[in-house]
Amino acid sequence: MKKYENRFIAAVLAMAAFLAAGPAVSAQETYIMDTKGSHAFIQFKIKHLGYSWLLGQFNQFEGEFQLDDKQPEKSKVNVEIDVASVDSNHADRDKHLRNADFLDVKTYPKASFVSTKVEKTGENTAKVTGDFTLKGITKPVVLDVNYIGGGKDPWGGYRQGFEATTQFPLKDFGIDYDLGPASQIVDIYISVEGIRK
Amino acid sequence: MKKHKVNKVEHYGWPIIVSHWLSAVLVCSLFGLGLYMVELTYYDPLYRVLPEWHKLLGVILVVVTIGRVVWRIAVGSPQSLVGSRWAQRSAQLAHGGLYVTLFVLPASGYLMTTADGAALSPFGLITIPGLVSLSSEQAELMGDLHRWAAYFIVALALLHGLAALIHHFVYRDNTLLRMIHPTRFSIDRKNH
Repeated sequence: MKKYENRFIAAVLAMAAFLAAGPAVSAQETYIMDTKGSHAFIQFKIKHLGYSWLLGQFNQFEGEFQLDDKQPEKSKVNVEIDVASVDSNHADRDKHLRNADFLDVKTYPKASFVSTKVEKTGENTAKVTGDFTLKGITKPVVLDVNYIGGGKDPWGGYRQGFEATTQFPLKDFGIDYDLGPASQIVDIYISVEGIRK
Repeated sequence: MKKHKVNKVEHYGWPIIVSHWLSAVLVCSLFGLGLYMVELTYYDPLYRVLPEWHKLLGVILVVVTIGRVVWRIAVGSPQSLVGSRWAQRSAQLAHGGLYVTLFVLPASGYLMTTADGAALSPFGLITIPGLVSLSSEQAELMGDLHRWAAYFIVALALLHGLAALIHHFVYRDNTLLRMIHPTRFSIDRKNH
């Protein structure tokens, strides 16, 4: 009888150890960007004539990221943007942005970012390199990522949030419409919250 | 009752004549403006002005068209002169097509430019509130519709003009002249 009792305790301990270690073992977790609840934003800004900033955003996109807290460099992120959803709060301008002078959304309806390298640079910061495809042109782009926070949400889920910035010349992606010398480079600001799968 | 009244009209009155030619001038101007303005680049001095003119003239054309249609329904229009049944039917179809397109054009233009819910306010002179918000796809659809309707109305107007010239020079009737002055001009209709 004693023998079985020991075995039972051993089994319980093993299970407890397994459960405790479980989350640590499966270090890679997948998060879906909360675009449905709109806790995810991809915004851009570009100088207007050099006198002010013009701001806009892409209203529709989806993405996910895999976080690996043991080996952060194994983390991944990918996003697909519905380019036609460009919104600069001005219908005529948005129409112009969608046409061939700028984004040519009929020919290139999607833009995407697929990470290729993640380098942790500090406690809460990382450089994420990836292939960015816009207007059919794919080039490496580096995102400066800042971890904002994460934890349980009030509805039984688990979330993690990041913000990121990058910039690139528009003509790198085949957009060469003359907006003037002050408006060559577009700044991107991204803020995303992911819900754990 | 109405049919009878329509048939009794002998000629076009000034309101119809003036609004007809005003519409012709407006449609041609809007078409030219539209084609030209979308090709302008950012640094062109007219880049910001021509779209405003296009919108303003478009609003004027809507007002003229509504007035014209109301007047036409109220007063009636004279019967078409000579021509086979086929020609009369074609004329009716063409006129119907012109009227419908005269509404499709400003409607699609308005919907596309107010797609974000903002008002249409050319030069700030008049303000027509935006009533519906459209998705990007719907706004693009309105843009395509606007462009094709514009090509369509210009093609139809050319046919319309050609038909008027045929009436004038081949049938030698008053179709064209009665759209220039209610009573002054008249060709003796030899065949009637």
